[in-house]
Amino acid sequence: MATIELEKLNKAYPVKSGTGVLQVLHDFSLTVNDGEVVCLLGPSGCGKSTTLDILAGLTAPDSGTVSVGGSAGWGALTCGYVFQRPQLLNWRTVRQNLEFALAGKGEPKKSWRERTDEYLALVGLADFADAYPLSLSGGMQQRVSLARGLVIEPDVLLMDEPFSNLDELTARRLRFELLEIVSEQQTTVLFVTHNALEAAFLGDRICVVSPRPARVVDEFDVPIGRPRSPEDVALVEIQRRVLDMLEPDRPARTRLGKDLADV
Amino acid sequence: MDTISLEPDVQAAAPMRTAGRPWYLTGAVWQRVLAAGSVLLAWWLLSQTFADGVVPSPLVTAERLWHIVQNEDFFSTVALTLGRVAAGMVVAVVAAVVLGIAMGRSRRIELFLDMFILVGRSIPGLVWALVAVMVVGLNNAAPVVAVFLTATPLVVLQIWESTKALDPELFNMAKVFGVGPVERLRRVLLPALVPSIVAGTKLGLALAWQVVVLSELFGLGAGVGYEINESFSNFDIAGVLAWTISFAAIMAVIEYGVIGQVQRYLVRWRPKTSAS
Amino acid sequence: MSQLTHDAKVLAPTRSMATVLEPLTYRVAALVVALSGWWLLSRWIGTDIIPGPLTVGDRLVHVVVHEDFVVHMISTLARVLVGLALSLLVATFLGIGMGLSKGVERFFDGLVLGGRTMPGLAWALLAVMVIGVSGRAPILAVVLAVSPLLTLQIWEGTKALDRDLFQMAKVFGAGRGQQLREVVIPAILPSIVGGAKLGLALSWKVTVLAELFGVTSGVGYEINRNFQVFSLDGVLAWALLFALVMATIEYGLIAPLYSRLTRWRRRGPPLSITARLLRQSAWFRRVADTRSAGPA
Repeated sequence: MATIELEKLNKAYPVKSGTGVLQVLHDFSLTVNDGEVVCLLGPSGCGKSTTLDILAGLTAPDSGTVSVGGSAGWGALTCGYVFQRPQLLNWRTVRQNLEFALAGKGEPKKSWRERTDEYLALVGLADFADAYPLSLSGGMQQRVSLARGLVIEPDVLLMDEPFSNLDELTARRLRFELLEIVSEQQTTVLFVTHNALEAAFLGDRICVVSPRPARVVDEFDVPIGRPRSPEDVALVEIQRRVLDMLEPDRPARTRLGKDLADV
Repeated sequence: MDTISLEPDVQAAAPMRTAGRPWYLTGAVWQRVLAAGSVLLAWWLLSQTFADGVVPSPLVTAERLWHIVQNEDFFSTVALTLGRVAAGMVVAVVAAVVLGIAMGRSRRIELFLDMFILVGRSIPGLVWALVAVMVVGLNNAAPVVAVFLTATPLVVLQIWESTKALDPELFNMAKVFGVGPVERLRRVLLPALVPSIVAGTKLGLALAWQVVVLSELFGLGAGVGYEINESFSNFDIAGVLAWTISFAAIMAVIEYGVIGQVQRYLVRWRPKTSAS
Repeated sequence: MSQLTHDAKVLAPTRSMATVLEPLTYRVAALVVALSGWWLLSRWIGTDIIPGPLTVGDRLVHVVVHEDFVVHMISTLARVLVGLALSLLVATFLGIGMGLSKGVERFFDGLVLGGRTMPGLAWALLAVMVIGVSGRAPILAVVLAVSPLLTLQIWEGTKALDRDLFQMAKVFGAGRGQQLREVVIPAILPSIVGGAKLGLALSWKVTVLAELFGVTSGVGYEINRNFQVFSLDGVLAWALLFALVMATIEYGLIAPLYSRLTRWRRRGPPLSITARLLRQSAWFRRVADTRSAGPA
């Protein structure tokens, strides 16, 4: 069972010029239940990525505990990570990039071919298995990165604004694909984004994070059934709730949507 | 995005001067002083292990350097060699501008000449220096010819490539606004090519002065190359070192100081993304 | 952004007869003009000063058949290769060290840049004077002249390593061996081989110089011998033959190796035909259109 529990995480970075420190996380706590898709939503630079890095074991917290599946650390559980940039090995083919993750997990070599074929087909790249990443468009590279995160069939999938650098058309397609795969495999997903509509579309639950130092200021279940439509007005409603929380005194002009809804 | 910049930034080069401390107290400076010190020490140790001053110590070399700069018509010798370098480079750059633009603008000229440029570039300056001395004879024209033969292909390559890379839309724009061919050359083509002409000159210069020194070495009666050859024949390593180091230093100042500054000034309109 | 232009390149028509023949015509014409120009020049100035192309051609054959070309060539080539190999060894350690550690970088950067400014001639003379008339002098000269150049290449290659990739490798459980094999070496290898390509061109020039001043065998010695007896056809014949051998090594050996190691940098192939067609499909076209339409 891949339940994630983050307990009172603290993290500060020394500031380059001067002697001060930058408190990024302050008593940050978060629970993600097994098989749940939780969106971590907040303004850019609020420490969301740091949270993911701590969870993935890339950065050590100054204090606090991380437990996955009830025990500290990852143990036998595996973690897939889809980064903001594709982070592919440009000198390896698409298939070899997926195999890199399989080798890291220690999957037997015999299963590689089948597994890579399966997941490349899932993200619509079956014909590009032997292409080099630089010959693909940005959207395709990001799909390779997504396939790499999924091919190891991780217990937990961490995603750091994976679609924010893509054009909306591609991003929309990938969100559909992601939801399909994740619901099929009951993967626990922690999805970081600054896009409220994206969070509302993807998440079972949304945690709104405040600007630095980061802490969860609002947390609610998304009351929309699945399958969802990205055009659903209910998503806009949720976006407004988030904006009210993060930016309560924003100019009235930008609140036009609310006035219209009231009418 | 901001979250990323919070991470200790390992990829970016550390600033030369850490804030809050004077530059001469930073680690960077001390490490370089240490580096220079250990080179001098290694040089000195090397000079001690070889018998009879086969390898002169740094001090002996420095003394010799000082002596040369003080007494032996240093400046007239350097000026003579520099003059030969300059004459050769002027001829080479003028030829290269004409050839490079012609090759970049006309496919026929390009097909006709590209072979010679590519082959010429791979023939070492040494061969050109020998050929020039043998054909032209022991006079001032020999080093100029040698420089011309060595540097021209290199400079042509730069100008040719950047002429080809020029945006044809720019010419269409000029045509649409009724600018004549001469004006197009003067106002569109040449200004756009100036950075690559300067870059080519810088590359060519690095070769040119070595070729001039070589051809002086092979028989011309004066110049830095002649002095180096004299020292070499007398087995005076300190002399060879002193002459080479001093002239290399002068050329480095010209290359990086003077031309580098010109280059930076010329490309000031470019966003600062690529170095030099 | 580049989706459409790139496709245009991939689907460029195969070269027709005319596009192959036209350059060939110009090249042959260029060669004929150059050779006859040379011939006329030698006639005009005097064949004793500028030997004609035929004389040099004769001498070329003579050098190969009667003047121990193979022996001298092999001894020069051996010096070039040993020097280059030693320089590569030094430069690989130094370059990677400088790329990874700021301290090492600060210690050596002045040396490397300074060494780069010293001309090959200086190193050749120094090596000959320190070592004396011996086959080891050219090797030392090559190491002194070429190491800074190679170090510079590998140093820059290492600095350009994307450190985020190490984080990625860590997340996906890659061990040290896997990281070295899959992340570090493939990323640095192109700059090592690219450096070797530059280094080769420099090392044979330096070797010939050093041989010219202080060795009694090798191509440089032969060139000097011919210069001393004022035989321009000999100088030209030796220089041409040697340049030919070095060009063969560069274009026949190192360039293919380099392009093989960097084939991942090229956009486009290898794609299957289905993949190429798929790229043309409506969906990708639409994506490409929306992208190129946007300002960002």
